[in-house]
Amino acid sequence: MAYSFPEEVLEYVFSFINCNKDRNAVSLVCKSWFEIERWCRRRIFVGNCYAVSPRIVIRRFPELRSVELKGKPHFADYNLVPEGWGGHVYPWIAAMARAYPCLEEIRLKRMVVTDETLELVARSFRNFKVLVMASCEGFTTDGLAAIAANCK
Amino acid sequence: MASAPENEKNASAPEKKTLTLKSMINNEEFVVDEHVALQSVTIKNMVDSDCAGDVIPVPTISGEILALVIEYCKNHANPSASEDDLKKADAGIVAKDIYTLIDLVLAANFLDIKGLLEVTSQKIADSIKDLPHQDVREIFGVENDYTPEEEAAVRAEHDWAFEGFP
Repeated sequence: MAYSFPEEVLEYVFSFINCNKDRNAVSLVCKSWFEIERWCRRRIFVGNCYAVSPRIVIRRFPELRSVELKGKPHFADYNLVPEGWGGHVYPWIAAMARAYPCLEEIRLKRMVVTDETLELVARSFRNFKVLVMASCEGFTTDGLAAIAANCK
Repeated sequence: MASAPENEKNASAPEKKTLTLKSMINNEEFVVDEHVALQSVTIKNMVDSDCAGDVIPVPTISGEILALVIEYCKNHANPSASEDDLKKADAGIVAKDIYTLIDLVLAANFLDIKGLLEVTSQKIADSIKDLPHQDVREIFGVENDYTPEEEAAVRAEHDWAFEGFP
């Protein structure tokens, strides 16, 4: 049985699908579902910040509000990842500052976050609400002060 | 001895305005109190602009689905229903198989009934949770227009980029 689904109904139904895995399944159904889904995706989770470039994320999901990124692999917690391995979040923030002025939430894990990065976060997103940094490094109280001074 | 004839009794009672909704799929008719039917913005607009005749034809919605829609509207037009009652009643209405839900969401959209659209969409989203995309495709009767290469490319992007290792 074939339905002729108005696009706005699909978009509405998709807005109730919170789990990214289910969102991904929906976008594999056909090309028009892929298109509708990508424009109404508000949050993504990138499990490895080097698996995809910010440019590709922005091209596919132009209206994100929340981004969760992971940097170094988990064994970094046991000092098994060499100094200077990478995991810098700055390129992501710089790209997102241009693409997502309405970004509300950034969640980072095991990434290098400099003060300069935090300053950029503080002044780039007009409706910013949540910053979570778990096992992150590279910043000082100066960066945190910038966030505290500029974000509601 | 009979008292006043039935029709006279009715004539003296305050008139309750009704509308007749007719499914154009199977010609089933439903007589509904006007304030119940007016929960539908589409019907309200028709009535307000004097476009509604004695019988309002409802295209593309079967009698079975129209009955569910009317049940929803009746519940929500009842001023003494508590929020809890309505929640339970809504849950009952959407406790249907996925194909009925799909018809229902299209009806809610066509008739422009925001609350029904919302509960039905939520239920559909819940129903397709954890289903592989092939199943979703089949349920919705969507034709796959990806080439195998394109589909593999999207899938690879999901595997590496948007799920990733823990």
